[in-house]
Amino acid sequence: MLFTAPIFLFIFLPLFLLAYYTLAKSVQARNYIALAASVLFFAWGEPVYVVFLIAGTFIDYCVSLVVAPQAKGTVRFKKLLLTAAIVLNVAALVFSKYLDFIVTQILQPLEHLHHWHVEPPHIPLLLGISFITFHRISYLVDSFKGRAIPPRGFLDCALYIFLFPQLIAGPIIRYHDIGQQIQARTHTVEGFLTGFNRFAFGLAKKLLFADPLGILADRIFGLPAAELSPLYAWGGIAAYTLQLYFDFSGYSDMAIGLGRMMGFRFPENFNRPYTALSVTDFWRRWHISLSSWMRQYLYIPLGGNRVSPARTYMNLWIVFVVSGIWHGANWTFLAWGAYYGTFLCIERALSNSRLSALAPPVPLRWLATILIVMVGWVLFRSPTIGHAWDYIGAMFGAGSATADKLLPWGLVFGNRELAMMVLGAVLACVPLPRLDGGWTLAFRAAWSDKMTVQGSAALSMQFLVTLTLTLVSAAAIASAEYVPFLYFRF
Amino acid sequence: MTKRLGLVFSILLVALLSVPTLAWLALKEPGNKLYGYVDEIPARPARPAAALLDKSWQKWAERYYDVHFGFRAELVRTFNETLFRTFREMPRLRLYSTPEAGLFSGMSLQYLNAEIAEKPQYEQRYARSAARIKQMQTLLEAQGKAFVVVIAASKPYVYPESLGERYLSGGREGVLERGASFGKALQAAGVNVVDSAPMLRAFARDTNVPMHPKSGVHWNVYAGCLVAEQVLDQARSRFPALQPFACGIPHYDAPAGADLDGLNLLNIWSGGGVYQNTPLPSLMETDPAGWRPSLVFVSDSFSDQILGPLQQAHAYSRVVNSGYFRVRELDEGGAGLQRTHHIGGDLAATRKQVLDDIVASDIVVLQMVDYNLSHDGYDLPDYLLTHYPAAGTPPAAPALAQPVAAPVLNVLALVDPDNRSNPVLVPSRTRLVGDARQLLAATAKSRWDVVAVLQQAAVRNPDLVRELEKQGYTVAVNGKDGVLALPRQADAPAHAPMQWQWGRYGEPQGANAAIENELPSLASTQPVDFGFYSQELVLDRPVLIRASFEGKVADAGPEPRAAHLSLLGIKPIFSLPGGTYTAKDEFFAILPAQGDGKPVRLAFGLGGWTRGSGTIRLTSLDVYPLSLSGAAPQYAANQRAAAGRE
Repeated sequence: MLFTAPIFLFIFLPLFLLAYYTLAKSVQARNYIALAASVLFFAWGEPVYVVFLIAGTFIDYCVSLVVAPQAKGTVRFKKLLLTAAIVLNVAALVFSKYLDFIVTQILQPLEHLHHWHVEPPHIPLLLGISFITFHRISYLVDSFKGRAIPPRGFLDCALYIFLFPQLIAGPIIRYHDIGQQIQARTHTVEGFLTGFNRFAFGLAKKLLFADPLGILADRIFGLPAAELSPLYAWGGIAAYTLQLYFDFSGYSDMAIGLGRMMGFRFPENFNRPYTALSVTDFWRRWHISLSSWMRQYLYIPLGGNRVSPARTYMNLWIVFVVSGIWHGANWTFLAWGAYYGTFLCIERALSNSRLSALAPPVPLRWLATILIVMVGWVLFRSPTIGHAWDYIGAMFGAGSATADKLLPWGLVFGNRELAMMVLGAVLACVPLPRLDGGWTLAFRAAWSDKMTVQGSAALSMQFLVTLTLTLVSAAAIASAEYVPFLYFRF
Repeated sequence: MTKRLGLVFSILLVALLSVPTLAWLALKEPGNKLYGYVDEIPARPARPAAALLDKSWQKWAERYYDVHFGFRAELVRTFNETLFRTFREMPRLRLYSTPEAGLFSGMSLQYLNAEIAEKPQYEQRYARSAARIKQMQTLLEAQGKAFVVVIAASKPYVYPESLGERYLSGGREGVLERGASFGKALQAAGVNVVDSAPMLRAFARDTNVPMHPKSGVHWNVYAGCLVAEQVLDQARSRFPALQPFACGIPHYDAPAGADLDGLNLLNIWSGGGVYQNTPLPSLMETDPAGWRPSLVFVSDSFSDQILGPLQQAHAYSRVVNSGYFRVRELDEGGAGLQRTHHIGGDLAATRKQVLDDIVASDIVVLQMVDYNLSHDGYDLPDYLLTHYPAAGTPPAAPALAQPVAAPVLNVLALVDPDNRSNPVLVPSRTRLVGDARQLLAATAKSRWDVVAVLQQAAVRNPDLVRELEKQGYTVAVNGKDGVLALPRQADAPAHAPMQWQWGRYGEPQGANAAIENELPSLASTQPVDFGFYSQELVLDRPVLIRASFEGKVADAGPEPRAAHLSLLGIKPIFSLPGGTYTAKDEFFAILPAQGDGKPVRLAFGLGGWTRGSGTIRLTSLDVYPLSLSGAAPQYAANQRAAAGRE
């Protein structure tokens, strides 16, 4: 069930909210309703796997009880058990997501060496497996480290894993960020309205920006890459760059908004990443929850930067290669991760050298960063490395396009798509002025720390904005053919 | 206060989300339907428990709800209206628009660009296809049938100039010459072809009559009718007895049917700025006693606009239309096509039936719109060449019917857009041409009862009159407002000037009436309705009326007519509004046969069903009986040819 599907928006969500706020008064009772709705939400898309996920979550819960600092047992045993549980979770991820890739891309090409013929098992990619695995690892590790308040019971643990706003496409919420809120949180109408407002903004970002831009990007990436003109190639990747941002940040907005409607405060996942002035800065702003997770559960355990410089660079690079392959079972994702790992290592080396004093002017830094990001997205979007290579070549004038052979630009770039590209670029890349004044709270509240709004005027304005965005989005949903969220595939 | 307000807002928002479901539950059937939405809902799973596990129930439920939730159509129309009004296109529906020509189908645009981008490949493919179609034509002609290929022109091929670089590879300059042309390939192979794009392009340019509606992506009925003219003209060399068929002067009415297909597909509330009246042919029915052919069309959706006018004019005895050579529609009684073989039925049986229809037919038409050219004639050539029954003796062409005194003139006309209501054209079967070159080509090819050039002298081709006379026409009128030429024929009755006798009607005080040189003259300072009537005339065939007037008159209402020449008590022939008239201004009109053989009178006076004042004199009045050439424009020539053969 997508957040943009009419069945979610017009049946599931109002029924859930009605039940959540009218049938239960205590946090615990509301947790039960939230858990039931979340399991139903997941079972709608994975009616069989849901049973295994519940069973797996129960195992994780049992393991967490054993490995917790206050539990009896040796540290060595706890570490062993923790490792076994993590391996089990990662194995499930590999089994569902990477087995075909391993067979077709690694085992089969090396068949002449191992003389062992295997056929790809064609196991379907389970909904949200990548995010769910990271959540479960976070729960296990945080329990082992004693970072969070332990759950009062299995239902608390299950709610953390199943909570539907973040279940299948993030943000990746670490257990210690939310464990406390599962047990105690406050519900206010101001918070509910601000959450609804954030949800409506997310809907609009997805439906009004990401979807038309996605159509444009698909159209251009569907053309033979080597025959593109530079204009088309740049247009296509610009559209995809913006689509990806509005799609994923829109989904994150919806998740954060839904969480807020239920009284939760989820961490932010985006901070205007296309205004970044370096690749490092970009990764502090893009998919923040993934970067935080990687730092916490991979980079630091690998030694982080408390090891030799060479090892630090290697750690950094490994983290991004893993991050790349986490996004999908394809060499392109691996290359994309390695590409960023390389740039981050270079930036780290430069920042540690004397050259750091020679920082270029801001516009140049921004231009270099966005260029690196866009070229990176070519790798991310292309079906093969060869296609990506041809496409990047076309961007820089190596394509074989001639005026008579090219589709005319009017059939490639629609007016709406061009308008959304310009408007989207301004919204995504230009630092926006900070608006002060009472009524502007209506717009800022949904991104503020408290995620609440005070005063009748601001509340009314916020309501009008929410109402308008919801109506426009509902019309867009009705009119559009549904385009799934990009991050669902990861 | 803030809390209470927040609570109200929260309830309102949740209620808003519930509205589509509540409306669905309350209404069940959505009222406002959407056009062109293929709402395919999978069948409801029979075993819900199993279906829940394999997710087919969820798919069904989601799809069912997507189609049925309340206010869906209203939301779609509102969103699409906003989008189309803002961006003037709907790429998701593959619809684009230009201010000049309205909506374009992306499919047509893409095909035109592909013909340019891949010209050599397309030319090769077209040459192969043309050779195959030529084989089919040879087969059909050996069986005594006429065969014509119609290449229907979608909008980009007729209005390429409105597209520009935005929609055309390499810009609009010479766009149609830069691409491959199936029409040329067919002509080179010797196939009878109506390549409609160049024809319609020239016609639209020369006459300003639109060939495609702004609100649609098909051509309009008038364009289809022009193509029907061409098809029958081509078939006439095989069947001289084919009755004349002409589309006449277009009249404009609200768009309907395919004229609105693009607009309907947009699913918006308004006309989207592309709704405008569409030209319709002014058709005359064929003579019921004359010969009518049996037709078979293998076609796509563009054939509707060809078949409509043919049906309206009763131009065929029977027609079978096979869409994409996959379905079959039949019209035997002229009541319209009825589908007999459907999509999804037995394709082999459908094709066999259409083959039988072809065997029994007189004229076979293979019609393809440009973007269907790659479909190899919908397999018709291969099928016919494989399955056509062994050759027998071709049936003889039907004998020529005796000339009939058809009450309808066959008129060839070159007309300024603002002169299309001219009385010359109203009672006639008129074929419109775009320029003098086309007019002379048509007169060289066929004989016409009247050739009308209703253009101001200032824009008229000065050599036109001389050329018409060279071709055997008598120029009966060569005035400021136009030229009228009649065929010079041995059987035409000699024209003798009329001897006019006049009687007076109405005698208002202060008005003067007199007869000077057999023609009446009137004067009145007061607004009056009086004048003279002529002796009785028997107008049992169409006549040309030519008159001139002198004087200065003013109209006094209720109608803007100060003086008139009329059919007494019936209707005005010439209405003279207030103004000054000189004998140099020649008025002319063609009157159809009047009164079922009973005599009628002409009337000349001030006013005429209204009142006028001033002085007016009839300075000349001639009535030419017109000689009908027969049932077909070229009837006489054909008859002579037939007589020669005998």
